[in-house]
Amino acid sequence: MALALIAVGPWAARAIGWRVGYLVQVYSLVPIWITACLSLTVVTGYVGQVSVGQSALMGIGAYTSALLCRSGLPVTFAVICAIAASVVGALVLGLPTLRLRGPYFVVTSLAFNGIFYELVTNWISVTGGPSGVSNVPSYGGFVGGYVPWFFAATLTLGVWALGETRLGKSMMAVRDDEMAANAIGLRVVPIKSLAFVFSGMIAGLAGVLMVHLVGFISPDFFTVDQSLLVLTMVLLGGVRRVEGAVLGAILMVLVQEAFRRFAEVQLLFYGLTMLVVILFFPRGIISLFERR
Amino acid sequence: MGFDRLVAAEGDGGSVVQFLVQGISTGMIYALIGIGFVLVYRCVGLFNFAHTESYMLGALATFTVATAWGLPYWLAILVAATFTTVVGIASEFVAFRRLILARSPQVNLIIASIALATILRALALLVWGPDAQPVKGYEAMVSLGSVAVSGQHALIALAALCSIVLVYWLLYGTRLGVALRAVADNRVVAGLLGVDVRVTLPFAFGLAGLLGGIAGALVAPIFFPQFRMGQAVLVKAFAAGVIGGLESVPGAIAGGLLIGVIESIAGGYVSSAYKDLLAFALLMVVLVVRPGGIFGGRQSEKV
Repeated sequence: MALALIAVGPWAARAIGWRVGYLVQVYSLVPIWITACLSLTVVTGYVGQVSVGQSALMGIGAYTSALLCRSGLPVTFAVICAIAASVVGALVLGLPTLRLRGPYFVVTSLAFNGIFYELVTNWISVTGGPSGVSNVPSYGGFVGGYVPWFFAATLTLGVWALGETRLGKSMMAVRDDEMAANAIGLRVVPIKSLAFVFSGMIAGLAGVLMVHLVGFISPDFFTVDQSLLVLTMVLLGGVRRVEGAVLGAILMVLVQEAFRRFAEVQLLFYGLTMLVVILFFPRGIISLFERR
Repeated sequence: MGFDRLVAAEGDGGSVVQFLVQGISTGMIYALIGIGFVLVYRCVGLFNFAHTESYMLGALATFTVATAWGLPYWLAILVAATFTTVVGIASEFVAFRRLILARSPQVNLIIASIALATILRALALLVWGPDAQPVKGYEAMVSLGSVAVSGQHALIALAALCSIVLVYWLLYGTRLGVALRAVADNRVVAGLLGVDVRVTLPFAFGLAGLLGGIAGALVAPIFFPQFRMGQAVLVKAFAAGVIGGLESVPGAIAGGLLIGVIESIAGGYVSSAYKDLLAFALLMVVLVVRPGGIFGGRQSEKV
């Protein structure tokens, strides 16, 4: 069913010819949000570190790719550099948390996001400041709509597979009880570092997909509120399973489109959603479908 | 967003003494907020991300009472502090009690506090709008030896000191304070000895809210209150707490003063553009080098 929708979607939107560009845009943003959510599934769902700086990691990828492309380098090279930059960002972000648990990662990720925003806003000579970077080569067109879906689907499978491997299970052991994990001989620091690497890679890719879809970026794409949106999506769907990331992203995009006129209450909506989910079904909507 | 520089009334350059006074008064604000973090952290192991929103609400409430209603500034401080105390108690009841009593994983508590912070910030945006609001405080200059310093900065330092004394009296001079410290030391044993957690938890959150509200009301005339100011101060107040070790009230005071003074002097002599980066850099360095805090023991694993 879902696959059929994905396959027919862009074609149908075109055939109806009603606000085509806009619909295609919303529709192809869904896989980008799914990808962003998956980066949180790894770092929050598997290893148990809550991040409110995910959009900065996306931003690092997006800006690196956009700026390198604009300076005339081949797209493939730019994309690889962009993802590498996001991984480095994620490792810097995770560095203090390798030995610590608890609130530390949340604050460093928040500060990281804030500083990234300040940097891209004020470093006008390189990033274009508040007006952003435009005329980025985009993969639009008929086939283009499928590119993000391809990556989202591959990554969904990949993150799911990671959860099934020994490494994935070790990550979950670290999440559930770090001391016990250490005691049974798991090497906590490399496991956490790998999780940050994966998370940075996926978030960077989400940023790359976004910038080459929209063809334009500005600092406002990568605010702390955007990070909170990603966190809300993952929590709503279910943070510990890949299905949760997919479901959460789709649901929130739909809700956002439905309430686009009421932009002022969106932040309130994110907060209320997070609170209700964490109080009443902390494993997300997906847990309602699980057999006990 | 999030890190808008709201520093409006910086002194017009000048002497080391002025920077020191500014640094100490801002540091006292970080200390007040930091103490609130420590109180709640010690009691329930929760680092309450919604706590700096009480600072924001205190500042905006001060605007409403002092500017919009035209009442005296001291009355505005009282109203703001009462308001944020109530918000603190209510937030414990709405967002945390269920999770604390069910002994949920720490991650869930952290997420609940992020959610609450988002809700409070969104509500403030709806009520007060996005713009920074002016508040008239204590405008006279105070002479300190041969140097004149801003009266509001002096007032902040003095009022913050009084609040800290009040906290110490509440913690060490009242039955409720003793109960609170017992819960902080060992919740299970305190419970066995008849301390009712359903009384001490609201007390801790209320006290934290009170301190946040006072801090917000005090800075309102200097930083124009705005709905994002809670998020903006979070990293600094957290850095203050981390330097002190997150577990000790004197540590939070020392950490707050340290950050305030360093920031003020660096902002005065180097560039104010890098103030936010400075707090972040300090935080990262302390976390990597001495996670237990400068004053704490060598406690690298906080599991």
